[in-house]
Amino acid sequence: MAEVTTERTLGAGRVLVLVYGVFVVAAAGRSASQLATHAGRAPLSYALSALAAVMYAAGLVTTTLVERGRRGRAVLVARALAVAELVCVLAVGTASLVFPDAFPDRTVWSEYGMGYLFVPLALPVLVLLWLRGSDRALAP
Amino acid sequence: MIDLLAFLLTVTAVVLAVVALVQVTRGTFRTDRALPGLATLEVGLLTQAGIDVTAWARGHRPGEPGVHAAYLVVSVVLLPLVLTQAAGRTGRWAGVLVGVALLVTAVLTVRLQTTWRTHG
Repeated sequence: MAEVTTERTLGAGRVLVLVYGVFVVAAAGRSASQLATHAGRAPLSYALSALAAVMYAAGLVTTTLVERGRRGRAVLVARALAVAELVCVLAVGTASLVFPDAFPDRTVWSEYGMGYLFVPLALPVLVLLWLRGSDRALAP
Repeated sequence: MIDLLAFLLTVTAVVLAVVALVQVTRGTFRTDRALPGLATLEVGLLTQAGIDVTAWARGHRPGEPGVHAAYLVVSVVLLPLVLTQAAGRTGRWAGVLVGVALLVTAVLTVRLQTTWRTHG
């Protein structure tokens, strides 16, 4: 007779949810503090950090939904958000290197997220790979 | 904030993270075995938060107060939150979750030091 266990496994999605949660706090805290104290110094940078906070919050919600078993539209939205996030990191990262004068202060996505150990660049790629893996796991 | 305490917390978090991730690669990670180390680290983080809040109440103004407050709350809440997710779970991702949380804790501790310093 097989041993009965109450232990359950944990998926990679939970790790992605954790990272998204941390980045919501980091980006929101950074942009809120900068906009509240010296908004005029680097408005573009601060606005982009605020945008990052919103996108990470949306990513947190959709990743949580998919991680909890939601499929269909939730997966499509999660994938679209991850692609948008990747495009933003690449665009802002490139712009921060080509036009450094436009970014007197760093954003979360400056230099492809170098200030955050390139996690902002890796995160959407990992989400896309995870969503692909989820699709394969459900395929007949 | 006490630099030595922050240094010890950072080193402890990194060491525990490396141990957890090595155990993941060997397939030997168990959340219950990681508990004593995580509990010790959490006590240190709570002590750091207490010292931080006390100094703040006594008039110190962090260089980036909003970011500092956010990081302070997350540094204290993160490990208990992750434990509620990983406790009683098997599989490598439970270990990865704990390992990543510990690395985030190390980074947060360093960032707390940075945002604590006053400008100018």
